[in-house]
Amino acid sequence: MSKIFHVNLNSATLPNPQVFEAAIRDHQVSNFSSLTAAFGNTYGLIPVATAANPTDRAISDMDDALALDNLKMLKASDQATDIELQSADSIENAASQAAPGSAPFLTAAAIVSGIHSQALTQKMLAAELRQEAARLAHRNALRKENAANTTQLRGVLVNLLQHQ
Amino acid sequence: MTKITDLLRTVKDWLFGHKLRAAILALVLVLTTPWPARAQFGLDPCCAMLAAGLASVQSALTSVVGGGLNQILGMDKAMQQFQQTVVWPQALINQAKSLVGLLQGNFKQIQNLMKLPVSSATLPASQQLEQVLLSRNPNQIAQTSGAYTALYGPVPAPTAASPQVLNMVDMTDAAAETAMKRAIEIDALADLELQAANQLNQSIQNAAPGSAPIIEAQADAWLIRANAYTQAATADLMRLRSIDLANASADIKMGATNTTNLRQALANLLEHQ
Repeated sequence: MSKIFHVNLNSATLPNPQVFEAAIRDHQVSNFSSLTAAFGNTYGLIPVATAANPTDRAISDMDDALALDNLKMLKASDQATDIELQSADSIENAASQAAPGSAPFLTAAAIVSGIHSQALTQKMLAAELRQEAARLAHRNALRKENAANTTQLRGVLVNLLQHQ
Repeated sequence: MTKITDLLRTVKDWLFGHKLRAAILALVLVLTTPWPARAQFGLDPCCAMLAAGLASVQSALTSVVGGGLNQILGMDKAMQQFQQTVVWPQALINQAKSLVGLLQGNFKQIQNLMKLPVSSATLPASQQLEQVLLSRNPNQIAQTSGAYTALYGPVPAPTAASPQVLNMVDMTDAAAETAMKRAIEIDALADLELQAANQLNQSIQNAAPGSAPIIEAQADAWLIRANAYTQAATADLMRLRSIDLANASADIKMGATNTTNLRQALANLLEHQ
């Protein structure tokens, strides 16, 4: 299982995506700044104030922020998963040498590890909820913008027809 | 004093007057006086009989009852030894406890990893919403709506869009906001679960061998609770995706309606020309 789990999955072919892919899959939490830089190199930066309207800039910033938040969180959770696997190995090794009277300690410890694992899953689900909610909110904001643009266009057309 | 003297005189007179009765009374008193008991060195034959009986009882106790008792004692010792070496060996119990201590270190690392700051927004409106979303503080849930509206805008005015579009926009905002609030809740609950797990782990390290299953039962209860919260989070994620799917469907429906209306308008235009 360990061998299967550690098969290299990296698939990017160009320099910037390769750096970015390596950063998001390295299970390290000490290089968040490199991750942010690699993200910027691959997906670009937020437009400057004169290049886009404030709403678009803010939404784009929020999308990027949540994507980066989650990628950072996933690096941490990847490392936490490694630690969980170590814990599972330790418990299994201890169980192979346990006596009937010492087994309940190991069982209780395994259940506590299960609670940790669930908490970690919940953290990841919370991150997924934030990201999905932001995606939905983004699309909805475009819908609102469309409604505003349509209203504005209707007004312009009415004015135009009135002047003819 | 006078009374005592009178009494003695009366007794003396009675004795002189009733010599035979006085003699009989004296004999009765002599016969009924208690005799001293014989010691073991006495030559009474009943002592020897008593000693023989006691020896017989002692022999029976030693050979019959004593043998059985020795067997029980031996079995008891064997059971005790079995329990100490096979069922509750101190060395293996200590080994299991030291493993629990090792796991405590792993748990601490995981907890620290989950507390790493990950915020990344750069503009004020997005920073404000991100700060609320990553707060893990249920007291900040109330601030979500304000920060959300500041970033994504309010629902358009009734004159700015069709009722269908307004309903869709409002429902989508509601679903997104609710999911963001749920994410704050789930983060806070996960933190509490991690705290509880640490406390349970410390209890295991201090537990007596017989009380470990009690802590195991408590941990099981927490695990069931954690599963329930995970399911609640998954349910909210599914709701969010359902709304997204419904929105995609509504876009197609509104597109069809708009196309029909446009076709009708064009037909009317051509008829009037």
